[in-house]
Amino acid sequence: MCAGPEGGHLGGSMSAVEILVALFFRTMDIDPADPEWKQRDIFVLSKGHAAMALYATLAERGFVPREEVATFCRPGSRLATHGNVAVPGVEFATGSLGHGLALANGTAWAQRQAGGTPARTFVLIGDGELQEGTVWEAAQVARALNADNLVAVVDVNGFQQTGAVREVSDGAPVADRWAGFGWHTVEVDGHDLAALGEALDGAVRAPGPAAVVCRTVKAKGVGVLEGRSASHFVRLDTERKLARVRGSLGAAAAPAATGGGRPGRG
Amino acid sequence: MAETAPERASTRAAFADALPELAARHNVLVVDTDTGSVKPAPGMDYLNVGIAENAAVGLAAGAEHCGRRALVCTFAAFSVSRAFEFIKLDIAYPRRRVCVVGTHGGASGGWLGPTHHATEDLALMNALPNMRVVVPADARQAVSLLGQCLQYDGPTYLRLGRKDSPVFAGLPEPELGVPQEVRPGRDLALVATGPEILATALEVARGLAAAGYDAQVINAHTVDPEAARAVGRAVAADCRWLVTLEEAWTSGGMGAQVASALGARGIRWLPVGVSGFLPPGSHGDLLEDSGLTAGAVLRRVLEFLDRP
Repeated sequence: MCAGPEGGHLGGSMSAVEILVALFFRTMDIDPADPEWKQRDIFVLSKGHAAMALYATLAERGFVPREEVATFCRPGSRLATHGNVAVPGVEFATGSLGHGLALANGTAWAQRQAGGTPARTFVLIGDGELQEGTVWEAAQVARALNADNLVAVVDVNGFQQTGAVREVSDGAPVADRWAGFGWHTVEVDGHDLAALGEALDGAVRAPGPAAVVCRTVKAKGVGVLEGRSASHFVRLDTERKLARVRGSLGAAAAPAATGGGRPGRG
Repeated sequence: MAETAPERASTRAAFADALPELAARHNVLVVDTDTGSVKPAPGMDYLNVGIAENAAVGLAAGAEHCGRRALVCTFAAFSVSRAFEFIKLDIAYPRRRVCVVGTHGGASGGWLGPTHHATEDLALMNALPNMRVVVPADARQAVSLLGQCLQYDGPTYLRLGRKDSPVFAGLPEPELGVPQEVRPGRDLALVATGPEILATALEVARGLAAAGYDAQVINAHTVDPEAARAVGRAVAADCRWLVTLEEAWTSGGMGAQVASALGARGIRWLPVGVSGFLPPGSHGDLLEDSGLTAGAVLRRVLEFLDRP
């Protein structure tokens, strides 16, 4: 997807892959044949630049045809850089950071009003995005509304566009911040599917809003780019670049380039 | 022909009185931001999210996504400027059935000062595709137009005042997006938005009549570009001059929309509105200092008509 002229937000997409897989294949009650099913769980991609990973997940889950993935940002495609609501399974036009949790407060409220056991809303937020004040405005509102069907999943990959989050504007310890806002908070390895599933189950059961703070690696799985802010946006527009990235898929990163994510108490 | 009635009433108070019944009737979630302008009542879904305008707009958008109409109540100074990007992306772009209410519109914040004045709101909201921008002319219109906003199939912005403002006798029931001719005339058109300003326009029309000019007065209670085209069609065919009056910055406000709609007619245009930031002061003094009283406007219009 990053091989086209428009490139793509590779790093923050790859860091969120296991989170999306856990949500769309295990935790969420959804129906690819009926994306607007009224009782569905709702997913809000607040870090809208990770749409690439969401589209791929939706394709694997049957919301969009697999072959459509290759059209990413090509003329006429629905698959735009940021979340495009023309794509089944994309609930909101996100990309301007700091909107998702406020929107999720509204969907979760409406789900609770519907009667019976309410459906749930899951919102994926980046750690750079936590610099947006509107995240915390909405976090406080969620607590005031006792939004017990609302789960925020925080992708703490440690990097934003221009560098390490801790160097640009440090938001650590991330988990303590959510706990301080009165949220049930759990930390987890964001690349461990079993642990993620368990953490999401716990978050769903928790009274009040819950945050699953995920320690992740930027550009996970792409050895040459793992844990580097340069992976934030990548344009693999030459054969050489593409071959280099393909050759490093699955390879471990150099030790010095990892360790950006600091989700918790140190 | 409409005339200023002896009594005065607040559009904000009329909104507060009418909202519970209208919200319940139209199944509208009311999201408040600690304004004190909403009276919670049984049967009305009401959430006071605190002093959090962006979160309020986002919440309303999310609820609407799940099928619930919503209304967000804030001061105009905060709903529009502060939460503008949320309104743009989460309300206007997806054409959500959300009504954003801004109280303390224009200079009605008075002594609360420039932090609480909203003279930018009309221009900002007019810039948004899909948004209907509504400014009731008096308390009765506020109730009627609130009900219409809550049934409108898309986003609306309802600008209200703060304290008592003129009430108009003989003003017919408004219809969202449809301008009202409140005084016929054929020499020039005075297009007015908002209570104090419509009262001014009517008085100016009387002054102009004494000077030999027959002025048409139009109540533009909806001011977005689509409504402005309707105003353009309502301006009498023989009018050679257009005077627009609003309690807002003129750049991008009602007048700019109407003049744009009338551009092809070659009509001469005098925009009357607020220039620059206003200091703290009483609403009446601020209007006077802005040259929005009938005497000042009449002088400016007569000069304008005399120009070659």
